[in-house]
Amino acid sequence: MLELQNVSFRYTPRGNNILSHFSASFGEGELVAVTGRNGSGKTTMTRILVGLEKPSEGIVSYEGNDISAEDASARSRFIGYVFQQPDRQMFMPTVREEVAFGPRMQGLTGKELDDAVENAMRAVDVAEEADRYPRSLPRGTQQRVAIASAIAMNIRYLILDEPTSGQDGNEKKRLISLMNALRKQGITVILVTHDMDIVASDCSRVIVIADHEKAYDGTPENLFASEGKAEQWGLAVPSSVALGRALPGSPYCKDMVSFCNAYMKLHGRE
Amino acid sequence: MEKLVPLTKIILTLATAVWSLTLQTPSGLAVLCVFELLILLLARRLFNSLKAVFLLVVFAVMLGLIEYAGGGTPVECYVSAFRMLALTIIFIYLLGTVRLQDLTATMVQQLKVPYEYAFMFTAGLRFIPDFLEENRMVTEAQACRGMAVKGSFIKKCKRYMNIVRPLMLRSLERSETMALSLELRGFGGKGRTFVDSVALHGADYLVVILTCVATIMVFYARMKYGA
Amino acid sequence: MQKIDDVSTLVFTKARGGKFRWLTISTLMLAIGMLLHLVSPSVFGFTPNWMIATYCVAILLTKPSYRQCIGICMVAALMEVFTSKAAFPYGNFFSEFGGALVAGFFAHSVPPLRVGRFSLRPILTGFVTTLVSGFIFVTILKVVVGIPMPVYLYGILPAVAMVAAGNAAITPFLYFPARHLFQTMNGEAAVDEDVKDSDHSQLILKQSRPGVISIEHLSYTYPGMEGEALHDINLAVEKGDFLVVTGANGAGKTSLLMAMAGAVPQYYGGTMKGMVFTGGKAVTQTSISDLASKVGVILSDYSAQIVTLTVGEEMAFTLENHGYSPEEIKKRSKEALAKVRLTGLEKREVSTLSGGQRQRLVVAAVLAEEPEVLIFDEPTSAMDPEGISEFYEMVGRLNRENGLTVVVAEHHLEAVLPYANRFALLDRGHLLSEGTPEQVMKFMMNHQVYANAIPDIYKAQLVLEEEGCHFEKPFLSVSDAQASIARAVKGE
Repeated sequence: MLELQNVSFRYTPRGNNILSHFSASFGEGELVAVTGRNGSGKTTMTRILVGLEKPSEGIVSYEGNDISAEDASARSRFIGYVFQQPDRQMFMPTVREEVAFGPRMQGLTGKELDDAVENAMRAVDVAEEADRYPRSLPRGTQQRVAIASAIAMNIRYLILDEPTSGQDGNEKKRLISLMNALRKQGITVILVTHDMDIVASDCSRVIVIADHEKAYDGTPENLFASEGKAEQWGLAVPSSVALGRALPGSPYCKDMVSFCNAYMKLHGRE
Repeated sequence: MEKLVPLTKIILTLATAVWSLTLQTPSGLAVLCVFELLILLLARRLFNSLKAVFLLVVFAVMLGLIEYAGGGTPVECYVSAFRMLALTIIFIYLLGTVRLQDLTATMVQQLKVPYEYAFMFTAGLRFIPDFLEENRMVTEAQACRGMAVKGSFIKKCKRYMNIVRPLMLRSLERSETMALSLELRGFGGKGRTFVDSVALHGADYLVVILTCVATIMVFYARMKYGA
Repeated sequence: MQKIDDVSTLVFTKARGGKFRWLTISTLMLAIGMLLHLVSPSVFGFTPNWMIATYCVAILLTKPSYRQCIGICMVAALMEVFTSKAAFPYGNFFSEFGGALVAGFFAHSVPPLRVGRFSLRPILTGFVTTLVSGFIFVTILKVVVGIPMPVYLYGILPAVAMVAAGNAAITPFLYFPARHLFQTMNGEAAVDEDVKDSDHSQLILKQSRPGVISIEHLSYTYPGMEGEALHDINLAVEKGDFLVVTGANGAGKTSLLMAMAGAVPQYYGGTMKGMVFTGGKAVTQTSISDLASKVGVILSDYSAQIVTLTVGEEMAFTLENHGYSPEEIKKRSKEALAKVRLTGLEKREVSTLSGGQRQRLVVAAVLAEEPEVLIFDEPTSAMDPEGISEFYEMVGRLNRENGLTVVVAEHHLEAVLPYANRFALLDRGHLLSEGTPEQVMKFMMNHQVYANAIPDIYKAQLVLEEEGCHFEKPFLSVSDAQASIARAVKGE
C-alpha cells in the first residue's frame, strides 16, 4: 500500500502551493490514470510519489512506514518511473545490458541477475531484440525496453509518464495490453496521460488534479457520464463517450465497441 | 568605454598584456592594475564585478606567497602578483561588455577567422542551457533506476559516467539533425552578410591611437628607466 | 546535354554526405565539455579536464584536418575564457593549440593499438593530450608570472600528470560508446568510399505532370542497406494542398519527406531511381540549399535546428548565409515572426522559450526564406492535446491564409482531419493509397493496413456502415459525428 497523506508542495517557503493537501492511496494490481491540465500539479504528484521531490507538508508512506525522506534511488526498490523520452537514459550496447542496469544497481549478480533480466524482457516482449543496440530501435520498442528496465527491479508500482504520446497506433495497442498484463501480475500501473480514450477504455480508476488539488478520484464512468463534469477541469471527453451522448438516453460507452453495440441495439440488430 | 566595438576592446586587452610583460617594477605594474580598474569603473562594471576582482586578487596574493615560499625576493613576489592581476583584470572588462553576437561578427569580418569557428563558439554556447536541463533529467531517470551519485570522488565520477554517456549519445544523434539543417540553410557559402555592424567609429580610433601611444611610452620607460 | 523522357530509367548514386558532421559533432561535444566543467563532481576544485576529454573524443571520431583541429581547440579555449572557467586566459589559447596538434596526430597517425578487443588509442590520446596541454599552460604561467622552479617541478607538474591520468581514464569511457553509435548511424561508411557520385548536370529533365512537387517512379535505398526504403512512388503535390503522409514506423514517411527536400539522395547518399521535382527543379540537379528556398523543412527534433542564442539571430541566420542585406533581413524576420504569432520577441534568448515556442521559431526561420511548401516530419511527437490543436491551427492558417502548401508526416490523424485535403498511406516503402482523407481511411480499414491509426470516431462509422447503417455526414469530427448520429436516430 502506497499512500500520500495530506501532501502539499511548494518550491519556496513563501511560494504558492503547486500541490495542496493531496491524499490518495494505491493498492495492488490497479491501473490508475492521473490526469489534469498542464500546470495542474499532476506531474508533481507523481514526482513526489517516486521521490524526485520531497513534500513540503504531509507524508509519503509505504507499507505503513514513512518514506518521505527517501530519495528516488532508495525508493527504486519498489517503485519505478518511466519517462516520456525513453532514449534519455539509454547508453548500453545491448538491450540485455540496458535492462540489467537497474538490477545491477540493486546489487543483483550472476544467475539472479540474468533471470530478472530475462523475465523482464519476456514480459514486455523484447526478448527477440535482446542483443540489439537500444538506441537504434524504434521509439515504441525503446519505451518497452525502458519499462523492462524498471520491471527487472522487482517493483510493485510503476509510473508511466505519457507512454502513448507520439507513438504510432500499433505501439499504443501493445503498450495498453502490456499495462493490463502487468496489472494482472499485481503491479499497480499509475499512468499520467492526456489520452482520455485510454482512460475510459482500460483504466479502473482515474484521479483528476485541477487547480493544484485533487478534484476527482473514482471510476472513469462516474467522471465522464455526466456532461460538463470532466470539461470543467479542462479535460477532453473520450470520443466513444461523446458519441454515446448523441444517442437517446445518453448511455455511457467506455470504448467504441460499446458504442457500436449500443447503436446496433437501438436498431434492433445485435 | 562600454560602447566601443569589440575590436577596440580586444586591442586594448592585448596591449595591457604587452605592457604587463614589459614593465618590470612592482610600482609600474601596480599603476597598470589601477589603470585597469579605472577602465572597469569607466565602463560601469567595477561595482558589479567586485566579487570577481576579489577572487583575482586572492589568486594573485597566493601566487606571490608561493613565490616567496619558493625562495623569491619580495620584489619578485610583488612583480608576480601584480603582473598576474594586470593580465587578468582587463578580462572582466572584455567579457562583461562584449556581446557574443558582436564578437562573432568581429571575429569573421575584422579578425578574418573563418566563419565556421565563430559559429561553433556561439552554437556551442547555445546548447549549454539545454544540456544543463538534460543533465538534470538524465540524473533523475537514472536515480529512478537505483543510481545515486554518492560516495568517494572516484565512485562519484564512475557513477556520473552513467549520466554523461546517455547525454553524449543523444547529442551525437542531434548532431546529425544539426548537420542536415545547416546544409539546408545554406551554411558555409561565400558572401555571408551580418546584420550587426561592428565597424569602428570615432571614439574607437581615438582609443586605438591612445593605446599605441601608451605602448610606445611603456617601451620607452622600460628602456630609459628600467621600469 | 541529354534529354530524358522516361525518368523511371534514371539511376543516381552517391556516397553518404554530411560535410558539416565534423563541425556539429565538435560543437556539441564542446558544449558537453563545458557542461561537465560546470556540474561534474570535484574534490578541492580538482576535476578531470572535461573540455580536453570531449574534444579528444570529437577529433578521434571525425578525424578532421589539422587546421580544423586547431579551430576546434581554439573554440574550446574561447569557451573556457568566456564562461569564466579560465584563470589565465592567454595560457588557455596556447595550451589548447598544443592539445589540438597532439589530438590530431593521434587521430591521423597513430594506429588503434589493439589489446584483445580494445584499442589503447583513446587512453593514450587522453593522457598525452592533457599532459601536453597542461604542460604548456603551466610553463607559460611559470615564465610570465615567475613561479619558483621547485614549486613548478615538484608541485605543479605532478598535478598536471594527475589530471592527465584522470583524463586517460575518462576518454575511453566516452569514446567507445560514441564510436559504437557513430558506426551504427553512419553504417561502416568506410566501405562505400569507392562509390562514384552520379552527375546529372548534363541532363535535361522535366516533370511529367503539374504540381509544386512531383515524385515520379521514385525508388530509394539507403547506402549500405539491403532493402529499398521507397519503391516506385508516384505522387504529385499541388499548390495549396495540405497533404498528410501516414504509415507505421519504418514505412518510409521520413524518407519520402526527405526526398521532397532533396536530402534524399544528396545528403543521405545511397541509390535513387526515378526522379523528384521540387519547385520545377530536379532534386539531383540543384543543391539542397537552393531547394530549401522552395521547400522549408522542419525536422522532428526541431530544437536541434536552432543554432543561435536569440530569436532575432535565428531568424537572420539563413538569410545571412545567403547574403541578404540587413534591411531585407529585418523586414522578412518581422513578417515571418508575425505569421507564427511570435511578434516582438527578437531579443529573447532561445533558452527561455518553451518547446512550442521553439517549434514556432523554427517555422518562422523557415518562413523567412519565403518558401512555397512547408514540410513537417512528425511535428507532434512530444505534445499534449492542447498543444497539438494549437499547432495545427497555426499550420492550417498558414495553409489557408498564406497559401502555403503543407506536407506533414503524422500518426495523429484526428488532429489533421479538420485541415487536410489529402492523405497518402505508406507501407514498407510502397505508396498503397492516396486521395481524400476518407478514401484513404476506408482503404486502411478495408485492407487492414495501419488500421490502428484511423481515428476511433471514423472507424466506428465504418464499422456501423458495414452493418448496414447510413449516415448523413462522415464522422470527421466529434460534432459532425454527433449531429449525424442524432439525425440517423431521429430518422428511424
